[in-house]
Amino acid sequence: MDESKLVGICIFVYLSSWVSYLVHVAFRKKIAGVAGDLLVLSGILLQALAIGLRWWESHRLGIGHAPLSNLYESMVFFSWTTALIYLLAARRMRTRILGIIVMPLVYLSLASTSLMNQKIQPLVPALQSNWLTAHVVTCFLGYAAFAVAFSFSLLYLLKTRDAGPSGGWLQRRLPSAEALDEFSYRMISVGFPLLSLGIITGAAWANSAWGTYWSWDPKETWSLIVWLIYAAYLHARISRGWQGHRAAWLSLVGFAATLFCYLGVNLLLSGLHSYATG
Amino acid sequence: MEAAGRVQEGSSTHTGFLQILFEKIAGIRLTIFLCILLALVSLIGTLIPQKLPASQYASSYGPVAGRIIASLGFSDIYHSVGFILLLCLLAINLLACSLKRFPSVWRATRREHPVPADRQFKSWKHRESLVLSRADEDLEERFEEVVSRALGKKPEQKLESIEERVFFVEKGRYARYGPYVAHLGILIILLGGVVGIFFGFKGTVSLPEGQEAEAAWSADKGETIPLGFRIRCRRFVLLQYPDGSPKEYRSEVSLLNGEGATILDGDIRVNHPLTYKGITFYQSTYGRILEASLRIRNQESGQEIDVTVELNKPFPLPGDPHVRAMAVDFHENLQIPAEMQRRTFFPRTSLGPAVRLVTLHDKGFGRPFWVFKDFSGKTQNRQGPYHFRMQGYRWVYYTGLQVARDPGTPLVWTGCVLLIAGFLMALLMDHEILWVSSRREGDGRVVLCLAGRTVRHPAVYAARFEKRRAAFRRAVTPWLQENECS
Repeated sequence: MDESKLVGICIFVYLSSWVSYLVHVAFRKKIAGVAGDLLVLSGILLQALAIGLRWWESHRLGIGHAPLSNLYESMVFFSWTTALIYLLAARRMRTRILGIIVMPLVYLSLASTSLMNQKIQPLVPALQSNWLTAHVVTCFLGYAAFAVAFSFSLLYLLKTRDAGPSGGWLQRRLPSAEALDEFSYRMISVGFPLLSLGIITGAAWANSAWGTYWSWDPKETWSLIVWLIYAAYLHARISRGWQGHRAAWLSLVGFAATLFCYLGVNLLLSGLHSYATG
Repeated sequence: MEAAGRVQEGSSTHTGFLQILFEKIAGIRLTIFLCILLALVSLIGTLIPQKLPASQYASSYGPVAGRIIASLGFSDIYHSVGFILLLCLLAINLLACSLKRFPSVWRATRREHPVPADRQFKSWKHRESLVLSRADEDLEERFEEVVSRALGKKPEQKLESIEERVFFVEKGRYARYGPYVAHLGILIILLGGVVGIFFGFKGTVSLPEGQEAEAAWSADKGETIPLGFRIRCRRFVLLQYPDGSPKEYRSEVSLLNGEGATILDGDIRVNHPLTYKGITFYQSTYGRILEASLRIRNQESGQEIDVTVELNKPFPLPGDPHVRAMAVDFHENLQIPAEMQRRTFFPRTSLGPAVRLVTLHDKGFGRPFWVFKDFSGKTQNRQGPYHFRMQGYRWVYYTGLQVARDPGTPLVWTGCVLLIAGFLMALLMDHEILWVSSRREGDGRVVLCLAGRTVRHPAVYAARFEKRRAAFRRAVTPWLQENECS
């Protein structure tokens, strides 16, 4: 049983959880919802095992490092943190409906790793730093929180849409608009400090590796763009006219920016952060 | 009198305008607007390559767009007037917003909380009431300690009489300071950035092994910056993984003072910089320089010299002082195509080390020609009267160091700490007010009451108050014989 087989199983498990949630929402079968939760939990545990296995394997090859150093490893970690944050949020806020939006994100991001270069590679000198783990972990926990907030905001917009002939059945199954708005805010209240920590640890790392904590590199700049959008969101909550609808759109735009910051910058632009394309 | 009246009128409209202006500057809408605008401008800077020469924008985007880019400052957008103006506006907005709102928050947290008239807290949403059938001296004595243990903080006794005692606990008072601490952090970060730009520098130093430098080169400012001491590269070490990618590279350096005495020896590796007197050296890059040793003979004059040549550095030729030569290319193993090999006299297609030379004289360059280490013959290794022989070559490594002084960095880290502290205060803490009362009724029963409320997040408080309620009940249980809920 090696790491990529485990990941393959997890992809299937997450897909199944999504199907369960869809059944739960469409046919109001509680057992399907419970099954979905259990599947997500098993996916999280299996993935944790896979990540640990890869870490151990890198040590066995003599190039031991935390599995956070290239596109494959970061994408695996992203799907794991998103699943984890989703489960915690869903339990705290007692809502299973979120699964129909978040689990496809988790499934697709993990499935995309099968197209990537999965080889365990040694770290180039710039990546040999303790800051690597702190920076990547905090950034991805923030991204995961934003992914869940995005899902809440999307559901909010669906809920507050004028109920057309087909829109009504989903809206009836959703929690109240106020609750969705509140949940989205709480997720961003968690994600924003995490992203800030991610940016700060990244700056500290840049300072020791490249001599400057900020060099307007596209990746750094895009993380600032994401930060500014969510800062605007947090302030929109207490500004009349920006609450509710506009705030939800900020959350959507913020997540789009998050995805561009994570993937678009590496794949479409170029800069000091080109490691993650491996 | 009239004149004074007119002046007063004038000043009140004046104040009215200032008032409106202050409201706008301190407004949240402006904050949202500025955040979005800054995000958009930053975005433009990632799409248009930065810091390129003007001609390159013209060739990439066309002459019109190129001129627009130059005039709007988009070629160095993060240092452009517009961007800096937006940052200043944001700083002013932050400051004004804090000045406007902080005083009331300060007063709210310092407010005295008078003992409520209804000491059973019947009108409070979150309350609990426990009844003991009779008074217990033991409990009376230890009540303050019991409350302290249940609520996690030493209470303040606000009232004491024979029949009743009232305690007050306030938790998370400083939670409301959170946003202001975070905003202060941001202002300090911006200040640190400004200090770094005005009082710091960034430059590079390239040192071949064995050489030293006294100054760094700043590409931004286009000038050399003296260090105040000398740095010498004693040795450069490069370690590689089996697949050839770099595993580690380090520079073993010495810092020397003006007289040449060693101040200190140290290693510089990636992620492990060296700092001295506020100047930090970072291992940035490395490279290698070719040194080829040539023996050159002038057939006409019979003179012969040995020279060590580097690429693109002219060297003299024996005999004629007006003529020099220069190496322009080098291959460790020069390959030629099969057809060329057949046409010439080479025995194979891999020709070993070869350096390409060109002669320089007053009228310009001669035709380039190759000098081979492994071959000599009638048509190779010669140009005019000069015969060349490559005796050997070696690579000299040089290290590329980044040099920087940034006195603003401590400010930036302080700001970051404040920012995170502000988050923790605002998001983890909540300002909570708790009252506990103990009242001896006429019939000998003792009624204990607990009530709580919170400033923010009223929806979440129900869960937290459950914990308080349970803890209170647990703490009083040893003395509880019967209870009534009311």
